Amino acid sequence: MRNMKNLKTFFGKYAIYFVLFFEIVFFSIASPYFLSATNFVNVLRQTSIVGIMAVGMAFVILTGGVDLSVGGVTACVGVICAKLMISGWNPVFAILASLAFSALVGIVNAFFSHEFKLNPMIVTLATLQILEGIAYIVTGAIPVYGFTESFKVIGQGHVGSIPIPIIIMIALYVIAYIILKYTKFGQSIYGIGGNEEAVRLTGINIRKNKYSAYVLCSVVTGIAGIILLSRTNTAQPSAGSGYEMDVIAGAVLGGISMSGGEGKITGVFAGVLVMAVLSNGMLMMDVSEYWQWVTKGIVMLAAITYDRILKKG
Amino acid sequence: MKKRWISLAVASAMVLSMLSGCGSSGTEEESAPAAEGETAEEDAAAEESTAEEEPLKIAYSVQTLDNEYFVTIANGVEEYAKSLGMSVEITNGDQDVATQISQIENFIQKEMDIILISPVSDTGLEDAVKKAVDAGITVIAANQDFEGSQAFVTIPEYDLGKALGDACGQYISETFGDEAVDVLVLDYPDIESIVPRGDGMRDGVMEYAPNANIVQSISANTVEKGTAAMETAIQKFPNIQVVIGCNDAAALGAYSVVEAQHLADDNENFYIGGMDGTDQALELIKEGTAYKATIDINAAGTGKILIDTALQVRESGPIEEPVSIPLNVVTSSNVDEFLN
Amino acid sequence: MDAKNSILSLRGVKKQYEGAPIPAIEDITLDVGYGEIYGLVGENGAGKSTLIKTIAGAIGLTDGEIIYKGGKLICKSPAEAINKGIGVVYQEFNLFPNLTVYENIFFGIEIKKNGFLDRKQMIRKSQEILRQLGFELDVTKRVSALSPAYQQATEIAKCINHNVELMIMDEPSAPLTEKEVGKMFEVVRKLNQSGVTIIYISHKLNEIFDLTDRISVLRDGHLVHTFRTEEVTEQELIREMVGREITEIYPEKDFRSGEVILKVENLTGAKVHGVSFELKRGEVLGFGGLVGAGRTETMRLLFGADRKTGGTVYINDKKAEIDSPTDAIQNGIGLIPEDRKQQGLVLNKSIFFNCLLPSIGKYSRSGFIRFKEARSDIGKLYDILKVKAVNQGQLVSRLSGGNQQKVVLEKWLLRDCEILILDEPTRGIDVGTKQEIYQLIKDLAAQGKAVIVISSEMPELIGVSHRVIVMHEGKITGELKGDEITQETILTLAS
Repeated sequence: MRNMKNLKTFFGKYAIYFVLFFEIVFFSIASPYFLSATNFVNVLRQTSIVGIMAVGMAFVILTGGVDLSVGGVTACVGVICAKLMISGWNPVFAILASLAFSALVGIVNAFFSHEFKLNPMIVTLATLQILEGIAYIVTGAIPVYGFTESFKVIGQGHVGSIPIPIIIMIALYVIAYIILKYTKFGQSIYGIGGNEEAVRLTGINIRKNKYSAYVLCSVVTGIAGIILLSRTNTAQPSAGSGYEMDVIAGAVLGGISMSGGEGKITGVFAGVLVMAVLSNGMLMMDVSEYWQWVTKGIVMLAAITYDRILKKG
Repeated sequence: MKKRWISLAVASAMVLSMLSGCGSSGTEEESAPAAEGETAEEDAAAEESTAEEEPLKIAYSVQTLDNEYFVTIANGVEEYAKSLGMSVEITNGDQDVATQISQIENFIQKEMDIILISPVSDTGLEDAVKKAVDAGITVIAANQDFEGSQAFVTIPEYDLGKALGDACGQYISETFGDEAVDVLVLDYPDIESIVPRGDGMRDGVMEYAPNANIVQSISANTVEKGTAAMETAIQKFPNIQVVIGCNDAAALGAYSVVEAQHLADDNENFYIGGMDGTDQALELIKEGTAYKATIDINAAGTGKILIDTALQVRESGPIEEPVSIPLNVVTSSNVDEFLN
Repeated sequence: MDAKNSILSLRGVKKQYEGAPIPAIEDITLDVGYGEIYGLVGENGAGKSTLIKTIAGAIGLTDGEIIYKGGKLICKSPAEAINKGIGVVYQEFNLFPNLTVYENIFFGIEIKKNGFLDRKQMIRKSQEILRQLGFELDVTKRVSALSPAYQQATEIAKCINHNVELMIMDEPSAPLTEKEVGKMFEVVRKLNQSGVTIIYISHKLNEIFDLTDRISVLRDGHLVHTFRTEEVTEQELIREMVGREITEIYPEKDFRSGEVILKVENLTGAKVHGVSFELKRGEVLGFGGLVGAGRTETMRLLFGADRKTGGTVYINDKKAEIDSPTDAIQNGIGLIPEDRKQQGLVLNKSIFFNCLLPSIGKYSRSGFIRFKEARSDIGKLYDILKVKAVNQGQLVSRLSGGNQQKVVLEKWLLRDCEILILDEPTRGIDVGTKQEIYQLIKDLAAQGKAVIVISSEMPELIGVSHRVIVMHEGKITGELKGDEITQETILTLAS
């Protein structure tokens, strides 16, 4: 009886890891091409953009908010950085300038959702529109390309045999893990999502923490945007379009509660990987595009239901 | 003190939102005062109606302006119409049928003479189009047909795919002979109307290189998706030597993998083809890289064809057969014509 | 009385909340006769609310059965209950605030004509019912715009309109003024005369004696006794409720006066009009008054939780700028809020997490938390307070009300505040824990801290305070010391 219960909480706690594990086992059996080091590197590299964005998103969702503008940030950061580099800026300064822009977006998002108590979903939907518009205005809907060779390193370079985007992603997850678990900021974020009023009455500065979360989300997304730019070597105004849903899906799959205050960053990493492995595995199995959509939807539903049932029980 | 600051911010936010409201619905705002003055104008027009014909009013509802191709067409329409002395209004359908319907209704209200439509979908516009035609407006379909159009100007998706497929198939048979080359196709079945493009690509390859081996078709329409698709495919089929994409973005993605993994040290033995004739593709073709072909879909010329077709319909009635936009296969031999 | 001629019978009813160590109610057996007014009394946390909720279908039973009009009653929702003729007027009203009065009255049983809502008819009927109750109001107003008394009238009208045969009223007088209470009594009697059975819950014993035919006493989740109203005295009833003589649970007062630590001058804000008082070290200052007198609001202003429009606060004779809880805490003030769950705790987090929150800065070095230090300090307090939990990592939501309150206390003790404000510190807490909290308040004062206690429970206020300030409608109406502090003097000042 007691053992059963322990087993249940064990599976509940690590539900997403089991889903990931089963996926890997399944595809390894189903396709001979799946289980290889290069393929894993591919999966990680392909997921690095969404994976990095999910780190920032996790912070915002933990405060009880959400940021739909991340797709727009990706596009704008890429476009701005590209335009600056084309006009002769040193890549380092171009990157810093575009990241500063992303920080500004975070401030705007936090300003409207916190100061006016507006629903962050609506606020960030609006900023998403604005940012997408800006990306098209800046480029005139024409892709920008032709950067210096050195810029390619961020998205296409390697350290040893590991691509740099993967290293950046893992570094960000480690940093996020430390912040959330061991710092005042991280613990405050959890508290705010759990019960904002109670936390306010313990003297914690809600404004400061919320602004920090939104800025962090936008800047981390900006980093993803820079990597995307370097990886594709061309700035497209449509880049990042629709990413917000992949990012949120990954975070929620990983156990971040949409109502805030609950979830771990390690789970987010697993959640993002679950979706990435699924896409890759299905390609390896030659599953047609439409069936891929159906399968992804089913796996998402199954994973969150499984999670909920086990956590409740 | 704080309260005042907040109310100030609210007030300025409201003003801003009003301003942006004006911006987004600019065309409507402009038409409102015009409507007031209309009677006066009409009177004036009536007086000199015999003296000079009013310039034609033309409108173009575009499927989306998020895309270089449509932007180029729209610019072409605008330029050519202005050169003919017409007034032009271009609206963004924003991939939404409802938006397009209301745009058409607005056009009818404004008594346009010609409406060009690149529809979001081939169904849903019928009623609005019928109203427009009943009102005596010439309605031309661009890129995709819909019920009630009086002419249909298009690049048949299949033909587009086939053009690249043919060029690719020819290259394979010339370079590799009867060898069973592995081919990767990057198509885009996500949008119904683009499905035949992929079919055309595959048919063209098989027609000219029957021994070729199309190992996989993966959906990709952006650089990133093209990159991911190529990385994954090469994992399973390391001998891929030919990649053709449903647009240049996808093909460029595949090209970046080929570059990064040095799959084409001998450029002759690798073939990448895309379509859209983007500058980046043209430059790569010119440099003699593995990127060998793109299809120029004549976006710049499409606007002129659309308007000419509309004028022809006004003179001699609806045209039954689709009006094709001429395509150009761009390879190293003719790339200079397309580079500016 | 037996089940046969009873409208409602409970047989061995038990409810244990998920994760709770003990049942909220257990082995409850009682019969309510047709046409009775049945009183239910008990201390806060005795299980009265739980009992009502099980009858009304708001929560499920763990064990036992409920028989209603001779048949087994299974209600899965309050809506089902009202359709079966059981209406509940809750402490916090169960109305849709954004709907109009008549829409609420007709919710679920809308009158339709040709498939459309017949609003005219509904408005007319709603007005009629309310008029019978003696209320004239515009039924097309939104409920949120009404005063509590009118909201309650709407709730009762809703019950009447649904033809309820059994109406349960949970602390109906709490939000009302004295005059309104009198009117509500008339309504209740009128309803009863027309054949509606009424279960009336209140901790105000005078009301119970005024209205009821029989009274049941709940204590710690058990039904300890049922009396005929005319056969019992108030003293006996209290003894049954508390389970022992009331004086026992308060520790002896001893007050060695210290220097003034807090001075509040002319504090003004929403619902608070120019409140001034002083607080000394070692003192327990009680705040008395009716619900809505502005006591909670005063403390929230003092704590910086709400914005004050005027007034000055001096701490240790120095002017303190307090504009936010952060400022208040830096000035050594701690607030244990009235609403534990909404304002006091992050429920889905651990005991440790909750305790750490106010002191998170104290245990951080350059942003990083020193968990080891915090854990050991919290552990020490945890032992002193005797929190009943598996360990510090247990989720607060899984604790009983008393233990949750201990966690709130613990987090402020950890912060080591000089001035501690406790707003209704024992609401919904069992007697044993209450006593521990009273002892703790005494100990804190003895250590030279200053304590403010707001309480609506008269004996508690009298039992713990060295001095009592009474408020009425946002103003201080008087101050009582030593032997002056009695139920009568407080009540006189409070109204």
